[in-house]
Amino acid sequence: MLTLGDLSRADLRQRLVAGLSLRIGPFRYLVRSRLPPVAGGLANMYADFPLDDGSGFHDFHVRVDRVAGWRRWVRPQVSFWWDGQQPFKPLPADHAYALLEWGMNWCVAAQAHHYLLLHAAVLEHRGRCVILPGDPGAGKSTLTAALMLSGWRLLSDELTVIDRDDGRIQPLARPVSLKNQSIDVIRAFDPQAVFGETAHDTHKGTVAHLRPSRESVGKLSCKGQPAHVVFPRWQVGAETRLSARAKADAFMHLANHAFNYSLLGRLGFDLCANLVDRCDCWDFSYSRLDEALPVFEELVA
Amino acid sequence: MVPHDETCRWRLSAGADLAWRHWGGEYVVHHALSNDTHRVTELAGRLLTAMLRSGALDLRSLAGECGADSGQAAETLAALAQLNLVARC
Amino acid sequence: MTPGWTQLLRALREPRSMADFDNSTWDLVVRQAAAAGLLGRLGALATQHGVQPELPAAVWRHMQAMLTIAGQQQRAVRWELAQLTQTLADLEGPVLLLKGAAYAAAGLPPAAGRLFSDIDLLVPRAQLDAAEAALMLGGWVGSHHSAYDQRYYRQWMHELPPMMHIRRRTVLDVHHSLLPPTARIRTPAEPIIAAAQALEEFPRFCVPDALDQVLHSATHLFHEGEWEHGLRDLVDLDALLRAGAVDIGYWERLLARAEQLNLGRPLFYGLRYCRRLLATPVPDEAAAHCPGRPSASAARLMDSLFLPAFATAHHSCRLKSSGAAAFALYVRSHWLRMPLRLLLPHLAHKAWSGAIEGKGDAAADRDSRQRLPVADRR
Repeated sequence: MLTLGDLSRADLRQRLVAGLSLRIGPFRYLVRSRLPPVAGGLANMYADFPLDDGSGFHDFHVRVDRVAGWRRWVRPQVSFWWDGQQPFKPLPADHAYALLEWGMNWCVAAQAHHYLLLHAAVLEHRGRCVILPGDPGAGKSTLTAALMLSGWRLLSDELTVIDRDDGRIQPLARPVSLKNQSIDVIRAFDPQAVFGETAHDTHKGTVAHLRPSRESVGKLSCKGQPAHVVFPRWQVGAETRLSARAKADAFMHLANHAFNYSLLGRLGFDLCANLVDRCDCWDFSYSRLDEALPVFEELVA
Repeated sequence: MVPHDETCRWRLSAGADLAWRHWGGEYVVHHALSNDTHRVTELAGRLLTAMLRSGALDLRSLAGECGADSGQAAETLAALAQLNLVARC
Repeated sequence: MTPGWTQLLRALREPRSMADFDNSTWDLVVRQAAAAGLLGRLGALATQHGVQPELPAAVWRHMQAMLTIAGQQQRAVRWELAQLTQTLADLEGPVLLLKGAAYAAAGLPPAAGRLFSDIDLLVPRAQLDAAEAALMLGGWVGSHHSAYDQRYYRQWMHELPPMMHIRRRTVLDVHHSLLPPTARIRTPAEPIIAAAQALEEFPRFCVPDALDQVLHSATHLFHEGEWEHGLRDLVDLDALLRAGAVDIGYWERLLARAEQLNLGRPLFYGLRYCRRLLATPVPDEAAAHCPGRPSASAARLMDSLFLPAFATAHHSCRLKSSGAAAFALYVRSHWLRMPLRLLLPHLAHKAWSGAIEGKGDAAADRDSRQRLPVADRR
């Protein structure tokens, strides 16, 4: 089967002008762009994703391009369009690829209300999924990247997608978004890790994306079984500690940080409650990755 | 202690469609009409489920069913009433 | 009619035809419907007509997402009405629900799969102050605080400035008439209030009689300046007409009521475009004998404005003339609302304050529902 990585750069750029079909888990995007960094980013990050012909139904029509007018030339800006509308303000041109990733996230978070959408990372090992809800700065992304590079299957780094019919997790296996020091930590953790271009001075600081592992992409059609919810907290010098968290507390946190808990009404409550029913809930504090990872291995042993 | 009338009857508020879970001494409760979700104490949860089972009950019976004294029950019921979950009848 | 939206209109007219749509067709129709605020309705129609199993799974997921949101919004309205029942318990006189809130509360045909945001109420003019006072006690806060905006709404228009609930964030529009007292067409509110019927589920509230709902829907649409929801409003009207038409003598009664309320002109356009775009079964005699109908040439002129304006819902449907048509109708809607001596200074004021504060038209603010999907309120 042909993958995105099999395309020549020229071919890819041509497809992006007309519209490139990209299937990511249950969602099919039609992506348009004339910008070389976008083509480069996609070629790098989605190399293992299967190629699709451009016809048929797409869930989201997205585009990242230079804005029209004088900002095209002077401190050029780029914008994200969803079906002809611009949900965000334009950004500097060198944030173009990051903007595409944020935009693709937004499409799911703002619209995919067929599912319960949690603001959390989720990975799987030995058939069990661990969900990592993350407050900013909690170290969720660093852990996610390290676990994936250690052989865990990545289902998602930001959006945990819960199927309303069976409560299982729909994988997305999209690039892991890393910020600031996390980038250096992960480069040191695994020098073979494939990163995209770094974007500086974004509203989130310095941002770079990490290519999802081939194994993660290969299992996009397998839904995951939730087993644990772990609330990570990174703190300088902290002891590595896993402690049980009260389920009622875990439930309220998940509900408050879901993208669409309220929108789903009673269904949102049921899906979230069923999830907490079937999972063990934990608080996890750590400061060292090499101590953190074995704890996760043991969790799913 | 808040003065309370033990013969006063309480019930779930009109049209209250509740779903709940009970984990480790706490309840989470969803009220469909308002779409509010509440995290409440063990006693509050027991009071709600007692009224779900038995309909309207007077304060003394409710307190008895939930293993609490009337004063505690009255206070908790007042708090639940603020959340639109229960009402006097 | 633009070829660009033929399939969308076909889906609305004959829901069973959705079973034949291929994936490429859906790729366009889903986006057009979403832009027009009609994706939930297509989902409801698909279920009602038994074609939901024929739809591609991915398409049904999008419709189901919209139906979920619509269901939540309608639940929210019911809760709001339950709270408002207490807030307005001591207010004398009737309180009418209009449009979306009425459809949801009374379970009327337009409600299926419909999204909406504000709640529209109508009270007798004499009760307006008391209503406002009661609402403020109940936690509703007025918006648009500039002296100019206050005057615009209270003195010239037919409503209080929009009110928002301090905790629940719902928006309430309180009217005392269907059209502003300054409007070129004068229509009395008393007959509508007199004919309104109390709701079983929420006895504090009434809804207008079925005929008056049709007339209000048509009046609102054809006096409106905002056309993003034009097609959706026409679909509401079509649903009301189809439901009413099963009664014998319906059309005669509708025309007579239009005459009585002086709303024949908007009704004429409503019937015309419902027939044209949605194949509503309006008898020829009804269209031909509509009171207040314009001359044939005036009607054709309006066609050149309204038809492109309906098509502004999605960029794929727009005609070259759509932008200009929408603008012309925007100006017309203001012209209909107020005489020239008020209109010119008003437009000047808006342009000036818009330039300084970057705010839009006071009345359009609350209608500037972006086409973006609804975000979770928590």
